[in-house]
Amino acid sequence: MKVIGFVGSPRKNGNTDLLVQEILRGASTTGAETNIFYLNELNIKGCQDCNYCKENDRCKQQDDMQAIYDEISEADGIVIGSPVYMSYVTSQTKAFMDRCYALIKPDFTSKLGKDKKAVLVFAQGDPDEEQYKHIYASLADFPKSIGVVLQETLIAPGVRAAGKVSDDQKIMNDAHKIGERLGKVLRMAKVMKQPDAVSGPSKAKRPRS
Amino acid sequence: MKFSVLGIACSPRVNGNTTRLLLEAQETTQANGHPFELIYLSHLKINPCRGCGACSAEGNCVIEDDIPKLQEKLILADRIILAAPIFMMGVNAQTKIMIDRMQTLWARKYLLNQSLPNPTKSERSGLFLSAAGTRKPDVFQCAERSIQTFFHMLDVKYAQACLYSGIDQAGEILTHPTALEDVRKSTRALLLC
Repeated sequence: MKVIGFVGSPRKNGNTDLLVQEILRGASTTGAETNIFYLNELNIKGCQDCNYCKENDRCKQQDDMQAIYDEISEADGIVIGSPVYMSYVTSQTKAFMDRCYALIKPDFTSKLGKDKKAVLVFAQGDPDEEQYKHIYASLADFPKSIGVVLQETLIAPGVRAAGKVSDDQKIMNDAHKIGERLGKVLRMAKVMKQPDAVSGPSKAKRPRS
Repeated sequence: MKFSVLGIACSPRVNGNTTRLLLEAQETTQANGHPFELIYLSHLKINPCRGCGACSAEGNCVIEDDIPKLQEKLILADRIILAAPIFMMGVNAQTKIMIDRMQTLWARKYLLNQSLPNPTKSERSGLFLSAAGTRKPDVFQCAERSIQTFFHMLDVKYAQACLYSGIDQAGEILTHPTALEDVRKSTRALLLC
C-alpha cells in the first residue's frame, strides 16, 4: 500500500507542506509506504494543449512529469496540497494539474487503475473559511476527473507565516487522523480485492463434489 | 481620447481559440483608432513565484525574467484584454504563473501602503476572453475569480467577459454563431467608458 503526497507550495516546511507531511505520517501508522514530492523542485512544464496524450499513452514533454505519471499509477492514495495564491492554487500546483490531463482517455474515462483515493489540502492566509468555498468545490472535481475518488478535503484558514499551522494542535491532529483514515480505507479496499475475500480460506477446505 | 490597449495571449497554442478572439479585439481596437500591443505569454521567459517573501520588504521580486517588464506594461496600459484558455476547470498554468507574480503589487498595496502609479488619473478597465473544451456548468468560475483577483491587484476594473464553453479544437471558435461579434461589441464598449 502506497500513499504519495504532492506539495504545491514553493515554501518547504510551509503550512501546506506541514499538513501534507502530517497526513502522510498518519497514513504510515496504518502500514502505508509514503513518499513526498515538492512540485516547486521538479521540472514540470505547462500543458501545450497538443492532444498528443489522447492518441498516445503519455505526454510528449519529457520532463519530471513522466516519473510522476509512474508514481501516480503505482500509488493507492494521493495527497495534493496547495496554498491559495491569488484566489486559486499556485501555478506549480496548476501545472501539475494541467499535465494530469494526460491521464484521461479521449472518452474522458481514466487511464489509471480503479480504487485510488485522494485527499486535498488547502492553506489560505485569509481567516474567512467561506472566502474560497466555491473554488474548493470546483477543485474537488479534479481527482474525479482523473479517475480518483476524493476521500476528504482539509482546509487551514488564517495561516500566512510559514509553519504557523503547527501552532494549531487541532488542525495538526485532524491532518494526522485524515491520514489514518485514508490508510485504513485503502487497506480495507485491498483486503476486499483479495480473491474470495468474503468466504476466506474456508473455500480451499471445501470438499470436492 | 486614445486608450493604450494591452492584449495578452496566454494560450500555448498560437492559433488557439482564445488567441483568435484576442486578434478580433485587436482589429476592433485599431479600427477605432487606439494603439494595441499584443503580447504572447508563450514567447516570454516567466517563472513561478517562490513564496520567498522578499517582496514583502520592498515590493520588488528577486526573480530575473520577463515579468517585471510585463508588469510595467500592465500598470501603464489604459485597457487590458486577457485571453486565456481553461485547462482542468481553471486558467492554464502559464496564466497562473503570471498572476501569482503580481504578489509584489499585493505587498506594495497591503503591506507597504503604496499605490500604483496612474498617470492619466482615470479608471482602468479590462476584458477577459476565454474558451473551454468542456460544457460543465461553472467551468469559468475559478478562472473568473483568478482574473478578477489579477485585475484587482492592478487596480483594473473587471468590466466584461466573453466566455465560451464546448470549444476545444483549435479554430473551433470560428463556428460559434456570436463569439466574434460579441468580442467586437465588448471591445468597443471597453473603449467607450
